[in-house]
Amino acid sequence: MLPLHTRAVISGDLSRPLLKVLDLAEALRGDVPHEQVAVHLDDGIDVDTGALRDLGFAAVMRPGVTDRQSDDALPVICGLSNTDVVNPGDVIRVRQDNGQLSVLYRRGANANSLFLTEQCNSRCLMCSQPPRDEDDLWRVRELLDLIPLIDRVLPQLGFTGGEPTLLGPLLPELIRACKAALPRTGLHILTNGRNFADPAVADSVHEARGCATWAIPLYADVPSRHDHVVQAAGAFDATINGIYNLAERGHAIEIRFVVHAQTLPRMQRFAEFLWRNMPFVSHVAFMGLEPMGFAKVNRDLLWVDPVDYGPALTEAAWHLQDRSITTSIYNVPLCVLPEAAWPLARQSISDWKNIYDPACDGCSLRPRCCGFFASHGPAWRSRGIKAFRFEEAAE
Amino acid sequence: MKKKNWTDYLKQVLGWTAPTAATLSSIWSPAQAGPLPVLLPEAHPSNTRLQPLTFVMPNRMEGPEIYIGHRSHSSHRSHSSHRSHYSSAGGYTSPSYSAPVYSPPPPPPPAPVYSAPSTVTTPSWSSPSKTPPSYQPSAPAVGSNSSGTAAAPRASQQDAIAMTMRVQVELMRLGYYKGKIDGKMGSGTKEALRAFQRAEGLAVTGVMDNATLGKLGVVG
Repeated sequence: MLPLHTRAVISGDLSRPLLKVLDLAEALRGDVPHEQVAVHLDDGIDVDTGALRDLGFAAVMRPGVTDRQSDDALPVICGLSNTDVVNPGDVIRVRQDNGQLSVLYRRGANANSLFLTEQCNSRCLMCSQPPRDEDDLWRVRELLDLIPLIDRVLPQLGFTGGEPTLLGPLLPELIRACKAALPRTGLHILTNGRNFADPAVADSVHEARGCATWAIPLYADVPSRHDHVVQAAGAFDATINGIYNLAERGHAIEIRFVVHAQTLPRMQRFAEFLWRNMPFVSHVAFMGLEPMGFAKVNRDLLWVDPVDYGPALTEAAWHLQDRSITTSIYNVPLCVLPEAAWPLARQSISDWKNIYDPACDGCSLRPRCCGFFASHGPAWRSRGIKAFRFEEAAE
Repeated sequence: MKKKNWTDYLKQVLGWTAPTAATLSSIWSPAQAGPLPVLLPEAHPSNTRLQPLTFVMPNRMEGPEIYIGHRSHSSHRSHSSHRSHYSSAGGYTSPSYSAPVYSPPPPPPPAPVYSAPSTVTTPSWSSPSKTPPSYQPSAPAVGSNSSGTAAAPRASQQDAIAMTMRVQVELMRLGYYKGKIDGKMGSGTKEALRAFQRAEGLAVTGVMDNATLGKLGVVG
């Protein structure tokens, strides 16, 4: 649960806000253009910053040091209020005016995502990232600067938002940028798929074929319920057409289903619908509710104790898995899932989601469990939470 | 996620079943216009069998020594190698060889002074003036045996600073260097290099030669 922001003392003028932080040895290797590198210097190491300036580096970072040294020849980022936040390999945004450092890419994190836009054309009841209608094209510009600074060995990079297709031609541009800078990185793009009902839009992302998975939420097998959940009339038809348009063009598609009181009644039919109508999807993800954003407001509309839907979820998930559609269950702790569903339960993908309740102390299944969302409160706590003793786990 | 490399797999299988490979190729080539027939010729048992799968990671730099300064560029070495090459070619001084009587016109001094041995086999043996085909090292050396001459690329000033700093970082990490990381090849750095070279059994030169850089893991 490492925060993404911290404060620092910044002295000297930085020519650019985005910097790749590298330790001295890696910085000198020259894989990243020097003018985009802040050289991370451990405390106590004696380095001639004049030589670093001659080599064209942008800045030096001395996380634990309170102020610049008298002979520093480069802009210095020092005095981090939390020195753990930034580590070599990360890409940071430096706000020179207020000293805020934000980590935009974290090396070694198990999920790195690019936040594309705050705008959305749906208003899902349980949205964890409520949209805002603001001009945020600056994000795309920043991402285009960020992408080349990401480590090329990164196996997967997420695109999240907001609805990325609302960026129009900028979405293909971002995909192109990723393909150029990160040829070995798979993209995982969250979208409601509605805009792909227009074949021209589906055509426009042709470069994503073979390197991206489109993660598209579908909450029912019938329009009325899906449209209600996403609070947009006609959304079901558009999403279905969008899925077919993408599939027709050879794209990989993941279907996401969030389990709550509004989707639960059609969950079994939904599984059957998928198998009958979309056997081509490469992955189906059933997900527990994320108690943030709109979900907090709509708690009474949405809440079902996972213990109560466990058996139904197990059946729906295995219905698809048995028909050779790879199926996963996310965000539901093992103790509230029937054991039959455990083989399909995945550990949560984001570091910040992976926290545990005090009741989890001593649970021998913790290494395999997804844990809880960081934002969980008592109102979202299942009565089924418990720790497994070693003998139970051994069975 | 992880895809099986089918072409390699196929190559392996064909390696085991080499005798049938020819038949297979004749059967497949019309139907499979893909890469399969192309792969077949190289699927030879001696290549594919008994060869463990390894990743080749060079641990030292190939090519000219570009980080060690001028004095090591001994252009004499390459010349001596040329000379020995000549003497080993033999045949010039053999008196038993009765050459056809053909006296060539005096050879014009050729611009590319190194004449390949094949041209010497023309009947010019009797010409007494020919005895040592004078190799003049004045012109820039040509051919593949010219490595290590003054024509080798020198590292730019910035590259040299960066490389020196990298070496200082590594020497410091290993405990040989305690000074300032400044990119300057000062006495402390040279001494640390010598100590490292001594400990690693390398030639104790005190300069950043390729063998030392390789041992330090400062590559590329």
